[in-house]
Amino acid sequence: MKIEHDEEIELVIERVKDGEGVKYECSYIIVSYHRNNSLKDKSVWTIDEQAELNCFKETQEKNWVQESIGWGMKYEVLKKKESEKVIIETIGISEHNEKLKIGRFIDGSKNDTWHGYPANYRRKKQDIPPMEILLNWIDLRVLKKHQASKIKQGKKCNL
Amino acid sequence: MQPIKITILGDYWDCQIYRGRLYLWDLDGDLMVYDWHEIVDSIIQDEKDFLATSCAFLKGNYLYGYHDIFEDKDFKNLLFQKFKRIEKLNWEINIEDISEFLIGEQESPFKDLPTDTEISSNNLYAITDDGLWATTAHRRKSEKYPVSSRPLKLWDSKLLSLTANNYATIALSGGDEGLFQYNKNRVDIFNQFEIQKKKEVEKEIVQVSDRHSLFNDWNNLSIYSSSDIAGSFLSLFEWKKSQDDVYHRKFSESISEDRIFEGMNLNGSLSWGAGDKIYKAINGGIVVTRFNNNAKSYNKDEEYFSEPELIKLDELNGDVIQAKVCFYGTIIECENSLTIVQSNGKIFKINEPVTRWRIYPRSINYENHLHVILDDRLEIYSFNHDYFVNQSEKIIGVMYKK
Repeated sequence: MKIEHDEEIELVIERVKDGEGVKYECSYIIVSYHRNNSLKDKSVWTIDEQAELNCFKETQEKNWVQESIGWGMKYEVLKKKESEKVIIETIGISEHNEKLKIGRFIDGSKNDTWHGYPANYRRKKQDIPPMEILLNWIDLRVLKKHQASKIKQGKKCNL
Repeated sequence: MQPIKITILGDYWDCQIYRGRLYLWDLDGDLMVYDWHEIVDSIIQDEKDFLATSCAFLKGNYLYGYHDIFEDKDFKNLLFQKFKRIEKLNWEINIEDISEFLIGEQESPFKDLPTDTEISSNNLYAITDDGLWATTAHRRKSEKYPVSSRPLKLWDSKLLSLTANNYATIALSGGDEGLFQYNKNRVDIFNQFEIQKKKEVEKEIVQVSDRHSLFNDWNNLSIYSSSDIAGSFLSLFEWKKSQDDVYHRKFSESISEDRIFEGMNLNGSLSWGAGDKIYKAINGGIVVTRFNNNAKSYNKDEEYFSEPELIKLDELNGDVIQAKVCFYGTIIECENSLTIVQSNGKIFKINEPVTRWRIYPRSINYENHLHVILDDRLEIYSFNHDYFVNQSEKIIGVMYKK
């Protein structure tokens, strides 16, 4: 199904809050300028619209949200016998052609209408995820401790 | 001579050492403060190792005062042998083993785990998601907590790193917002920026530059701001005589790395500086220039920078992501390794991705330390070769001056 740009997509997301399932109703907009590079100073998604939407949904489901800003990644857990390896995929590209792997989602008007873009944590401080989110990603083994520390300090880090 | 190492097993986020106390932050946000002297005393099994171990871990600058004695080969060899003996010991400690030396344990005084910390003049400074904080450290042992649990918020801005100098002035790297300076005592702060008063962004905090700053360090009076995003630069501060006939530290100009390494056509890589040295990573090595902060002060007319020299280095794998300079050498972090280029020209390498590493070049007793937080442990290294290196001739590491 084709997902239209710049139009609200109604969503009902199951969140776990304080150990209980809670339904969260919101909408998400696939913003065209983070897709077609019409504004030259914006990062653009390289994953398709459905993957962007899934990334946003997981952000909400897992409560990777702080003060109307959500943080997400597209990753795969490869299990091999007793060990597991996490592969974090590139989700976008910056205006400087850098590969980006963290998504930043914003409910700018605080009316449960969200949009998102691939975050460039090395160039923009606002694109560095909060400590609480990074610690959660370490807990879930999505990130390693040294990666979280590098991201927090704005250092280059191959996720 | 190899560095000497104490390993403390455990899962840590940050560490500091200050006036005989070791500060450890764990991932749960707890801060533990240990008596470092007692930890070191507890590992010495043989009294023959006492001198070398205590010089290595407790009195880092003690042996700088004995350079003349090392002219005598017998003395030098004896000391070398003592360091050699303890090199092999590689102490490994479980955190439970040092619980008796715990001065205090508390929730980190700041709401979140810190992005960076610094202890200077009995104050612990921290950068967190909420901004820049300060609180009293090194409190009396009779106090409930070794660090005050009532921090003072100095600034709302989210920063990346901070470095204090010996005068309780702190340089702050603010990423795309630039380089800033915090001066607790407000000494002369407006005088330094008399033309740029508008640059005061918060009480006692001024913007030194709006260029991207990833991390910084002090080149004597000046600040070196490193960035792999927008190029590094030196914020030159100099002693200048005012109308009152008194010398004040004043801002002169920003000097880009291109000017510092002029004519070398060096592209891309990170540069960094501290004390009298500035380095830049290049393909196959690093280049170094000596920096003379007083080149134009006191009616002198000398060059700020010496002719750059090349140090060949095959050991760096990947881009340099952070680097610092101290007496015993320069420490270079790549994504998956930490390389120590020692002042005697030798290389020591840790082939693992590092969570955090710290040096303490402005401390009195720990300037030979390197603390490295890895996945499951803290490694505390002590480098002891620099006492035997000619300080005015060395090109790797900051020159030691009494």
